[in-house]
Amino acid sequence: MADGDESALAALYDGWAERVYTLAHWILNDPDEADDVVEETFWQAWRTAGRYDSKRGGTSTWLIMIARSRALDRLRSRRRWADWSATPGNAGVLLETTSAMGIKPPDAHSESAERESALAAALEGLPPDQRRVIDMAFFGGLSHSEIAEQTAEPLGTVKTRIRLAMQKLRHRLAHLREEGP
Amino acid sequence: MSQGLRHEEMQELLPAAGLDMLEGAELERLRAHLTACPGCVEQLHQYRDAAAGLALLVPAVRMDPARLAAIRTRLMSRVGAGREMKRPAALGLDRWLGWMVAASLAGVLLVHHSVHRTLDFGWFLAGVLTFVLVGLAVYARKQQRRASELQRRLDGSQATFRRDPTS
Repeated sequence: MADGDESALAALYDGWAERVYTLAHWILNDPDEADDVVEETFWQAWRTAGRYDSKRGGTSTWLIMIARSRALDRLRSRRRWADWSATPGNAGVLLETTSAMGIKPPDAHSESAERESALAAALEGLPPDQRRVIDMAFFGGLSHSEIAEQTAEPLGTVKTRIRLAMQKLRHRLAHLREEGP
Repeated sequence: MSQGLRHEEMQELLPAAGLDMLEGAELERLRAHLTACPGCVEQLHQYRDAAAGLALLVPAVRMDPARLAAIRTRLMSRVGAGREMKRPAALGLDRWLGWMVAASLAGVLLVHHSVHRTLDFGWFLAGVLTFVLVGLAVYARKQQRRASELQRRLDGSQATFRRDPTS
């Protein structure tokens, strides 16, 4: 794609558009805005493909982080215009997913089902308060201090919870890499 | 502060950095540390992998196939439009410039020739006509650029605000 191969972009879109849409939908809770995020994400991926370095992470990480960033930009802009309460995003999805529905690894578009299962298991093993702050940070794009304010917890506690939760998720993935072929 | 202590302190910032939560002084300090610590760079990538993995755990939301296809079409035409705008601009400018310089030189020679042969109005007329043509060409080129710029802006606005007509 970095060489301007349009078919590579088309293939990336066909493989990942729905997953990008899913993320944007969970962050924004608005189908039209999620549509726009899908287009913006792949357009940005096309324009910045030359800067993508596979040594720094997989394609999925690169694409998902672009999509998250685009969706959070919109969410923050919405908050600035003060209608955050009118059309809230979906922060809380991880809690809902794990407590009410059970964690469901996606049935399509996954680079590694094993990786997702490991993450799902690690996430399920997190205490609810850690899962909650991860949820607010990843899907809500909230800063440490915003999370502290919303949860009425001390800032230090929030930072510790995020650090511990992320360490567990990372260790679970690292463990999987070591076990892998 | 010892190097080891600083490294440990920076490692504590990595989980939040993986979620893009750092800002200000903390972010700057970590950035500076990463330039000299490949181990922390590797860990940061692992944290980012873990963060991105969270997006794969939420229940999939199915997209209407018509909307999926409409966005694909818009994206590919946007890519195509960007490519077309780049290519002729680079080649077209060289071609136009070459012709304009050649025509200007011809105009100068013709007018110069007519001045030294005072009764030969044909040469003078040809020279003036050449200058008029060059002027027209420059004007046309300018308008063409304005049209391209407007088209580019229009494409940008449409991409931002256009909604799928089926929605």
